[in-house]
Amino acid sequence: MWRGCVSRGLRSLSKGKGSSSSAPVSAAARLFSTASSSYTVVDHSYDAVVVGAGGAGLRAAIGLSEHGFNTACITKLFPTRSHTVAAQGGINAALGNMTEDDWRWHMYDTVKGSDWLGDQDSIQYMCREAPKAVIELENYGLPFSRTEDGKIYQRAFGGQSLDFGKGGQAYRCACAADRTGHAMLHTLYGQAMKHNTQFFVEYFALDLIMDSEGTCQGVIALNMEDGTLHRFRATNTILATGGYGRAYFSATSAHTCTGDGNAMVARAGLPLQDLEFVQFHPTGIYGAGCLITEGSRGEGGILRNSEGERFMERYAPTAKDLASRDVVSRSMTMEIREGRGVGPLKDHIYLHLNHLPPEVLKERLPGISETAAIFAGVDVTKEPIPVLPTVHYNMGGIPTNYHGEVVTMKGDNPDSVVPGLMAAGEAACASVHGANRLGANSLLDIVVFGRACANRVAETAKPGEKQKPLQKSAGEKTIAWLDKLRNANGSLPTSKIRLNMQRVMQNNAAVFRTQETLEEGCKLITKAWESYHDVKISDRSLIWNSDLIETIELENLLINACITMHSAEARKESRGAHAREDFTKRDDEQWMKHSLGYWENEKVRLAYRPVHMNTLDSEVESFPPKARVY
Amino acid sequence: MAAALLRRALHLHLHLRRALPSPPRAGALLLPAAASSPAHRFLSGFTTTTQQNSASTTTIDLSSDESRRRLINRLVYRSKQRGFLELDLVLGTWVEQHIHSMDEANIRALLQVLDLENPDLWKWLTSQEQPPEAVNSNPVFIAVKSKVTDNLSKHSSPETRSAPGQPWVRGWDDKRGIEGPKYGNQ
Repeated sequence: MWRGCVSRGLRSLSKGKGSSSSAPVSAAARLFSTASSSYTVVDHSYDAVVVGAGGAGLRAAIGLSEHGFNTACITKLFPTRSHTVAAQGGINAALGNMTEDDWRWHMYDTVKGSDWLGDQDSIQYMCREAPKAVIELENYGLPFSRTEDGKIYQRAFGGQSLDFGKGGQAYRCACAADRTGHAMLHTLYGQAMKHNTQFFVEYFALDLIMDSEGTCQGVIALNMEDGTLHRFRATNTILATGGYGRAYFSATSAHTCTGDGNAMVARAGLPLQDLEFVQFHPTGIYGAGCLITEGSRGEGGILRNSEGERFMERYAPTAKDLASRDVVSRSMTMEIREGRGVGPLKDHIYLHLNHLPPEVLKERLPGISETAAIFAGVDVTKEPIPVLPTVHYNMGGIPTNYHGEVVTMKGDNPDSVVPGLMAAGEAACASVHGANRLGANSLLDIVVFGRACANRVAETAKPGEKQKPLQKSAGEKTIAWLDKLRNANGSLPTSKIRLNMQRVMQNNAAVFRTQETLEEGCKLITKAWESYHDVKISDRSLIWNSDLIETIELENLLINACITMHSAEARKESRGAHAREDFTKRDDEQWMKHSLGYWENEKVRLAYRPVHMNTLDSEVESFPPKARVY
Repeated sequence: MAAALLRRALHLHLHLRRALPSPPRAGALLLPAAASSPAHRFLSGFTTTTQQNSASTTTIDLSSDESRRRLINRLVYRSKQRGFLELDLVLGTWVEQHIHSMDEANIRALLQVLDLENPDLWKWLTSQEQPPEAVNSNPVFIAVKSKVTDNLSKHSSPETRSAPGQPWVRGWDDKRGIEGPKYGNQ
C-alpha cells in the first residue's frame, strides 16, 4: 500500500561512468519530485558498501579496505555507539590459554547449544577461525586482559565444555576486563580509520537497490542532518545492522536495535530465517529492560506472584528459583498469562530480596540495590523488584552461507546466492546459533563473519571493477514511500502503535508458546501492522526529523515482529529457545529445517530450507542429533 | 543556581583523561590442569585514540526556531541512542526533560558529556569509579549525576549500596574455580 504510489522516475547515472579505486565518485545532486515535494538525490559509487558500524560492520570494512576495495560505511549512529559496546563478557575462542582446548570441542558445544538447528558447516567455520580472528584482534591492538604469564586471559561461561562435553568446564571466553565489546569497537574503528574507510555517519539506510534480475546494486539512504537522499552503488552490499530486540516490550537491547537490515531484505522480497528463535533472560527490570543478574537468585532472591506465592516451587520443586534460565522464564510467563502477574496490568513478577541481609546485597551483589533504585524506583529492603523475561538476543536474521553471502530459495536450490548482497553479525543468520545461542559466541560471530564477508568479496570481485549502471527507477519506490510516510496524517502516534506491537510480542511470542497464544498473536500482530496505516507523523521536516526516523524504525520492527510470530506459530515442536507447551518434544523428523519468512503484499509467507548437517572437510565429522534435556 | 552553573561553564576546560581501571580482585583463579595458580591482570591503561569529538565540531545555532529544533532533535537522538541501555535511559531521559531550557553554555557542556565513552560514563555516574576533574566540574554531568544520586538516596538503603569505587556485580565470576560459574552466562 505504501509502495503502490509511483511518481516520475529518477535519471540514471551518466553512461560509461564507473568506480575508481583512487577516490570515491560522487555525482552531482539531482532532484526527484513527488506530487508534493522535491527530494535531492546524491549518487555515490564504491566497490563495497557496509550498512551498520558495529563490530560486524567495522570488521567487514577493515577487511575490505585491506584488500584494496573502495569502501563506504553507512551508519545511523556514530560507530562507537553501536550496541556492540554493551557486550561485556568476552569472545569465545579455543586458544587453550587456561587449560587444554580444541576448536572441535567448541564446535560441539555450539552445535549442542543450537539444539541441532545450526548449520554445522558454518559452525565449523566459525569455531575453527575463532583463534585466528582473536589473534588478529590482538594484533590490531585490542587490549585483552592477561594471565600472569602474558597470555590472553579467558573466563568460564556456562555451556562451554572440554572433550565433547565429557571433560569438564572450558575456559574459552577471551576478554578485556568487563568491556570487551567497547574495546572491540574502538580497536576496529581505529583500524578502519587507518584504512580510510569512508564513513557516512547519521545516515539512515532505507532500502536495498535491487535490479530486475535480483542482483543487489547498493542501497538508498537518508542523510538525517540535511535531508538529502543518497544512492550508494556498489558491487557488494554488506548488511550489519544488528538485532530487533526492540520489537518486544522488554529487551536488553539499546533503543537502536530496530532490525533495519532485516526489514530492508524483507521489503526486497527475500526471506528472513528462523526469527522464531529469540533468547530471553528471566529477570529484566519491568519497563526498563536492564538485567538483574541471576546471582541475585543464587544468593537467595525469591520470585513471587500476585498471591505472594513462591511459584517456582511448583514448577521446579528441587531447583526452585535456581532452575535454568528457560525454566524460570517460562514459569514467570505462565503465571502472568494465568492472571497471577503483579502490577496494574498484571504483566510482571516480583523478585524479592528484602529478606536478604544488607551486607549480602552490599558485598556479594554490589550494584543490585542501585540498579533497582535507578531503573525501578524501589528500595530492595522494603519492596520487591518488578521483573519479567527480557529479550537478550535474536538467533534468526538474514540467511547466509558461511561466506556471509545472502542465500535464498531459487527453484530447487535452497542455497542460491543473492548476487551482490551479504550480511554479518546479529542481523545475519549463518546459522551458527541455530535455536539457541551459546554464551559469548555473539562477539565471535560478529568478528568471524564480518571478516568472512571481506574475504569472500576479495575472492569474487576486484577493486575498481566496472559496475552496471543503476536503472532509471532505482530508489523511486522508496522515495515515494518516504514521501507518503513523512506526510502521514492518520490518528495514531508512532509511540502508541509501537507499544501495542511490543505488548503483543511480549504477551504472545515470548517464552510461553502454545497454539492458542500464537494463533491469537498472529491475529493481534496483523492488526498492529494494519494500524500502522493509520500512523500520524507530526513533523514534516526532512532534517533531524526524529518522528520520521522512529516511524521508519517502527515499520522495520513490525515486519520483523510479524514474521517472528507467524514462524513461531507454524513450528509445531520445541527446540532451543522456542519452547511450546503443546509440542514439548523436539521433532527431528518433521522440523529439522530452517524457517523462512517472506514479507509479500504485507503478509507473511513461510517456506523452509534444510539444515546443513555436513561439515566442510574431514577435519571434523558432523555431530548427530542428541536429545536435549531441558 | 543557574547563574552559578553558567559561570562555571564559561570557565570550563575539558581535558579528558581515561580513568585507570580499579585494581584486580584479590584471589587467584584455580585452574584444573595448572601446577601453579596464575592470577589474571585486568585492563592496563587503555588510551582510546578514536573518541568521538563532536563537541569541538558541532555548531550551536539557537538563532531561529528551525535551527533550534534541528539541534535539539539531534542532541536528543544522540542522548537516547548510546548503544548502552542504561545510558539510553538515564541520559536520554534527562536530556529530553531539560534540553528545551538549556542555554548555549549548557548545550556545549552536554556535547562534552556526549563525547564520553559509555563504560566510563556509566561508572562515573554510578560512583563505581572516580571521574576526572574536568568531567566532575561539567555542569551537565553534575546535574545528571545528581539525579542518579537523588534516586539512590530516595530508593535504596545505604547499608545495601556498594561502596564508592566498588565495581558492580557481573554475569560471571572470575574467582570461581573448577566448578565454573554457578549462575551461567549472561
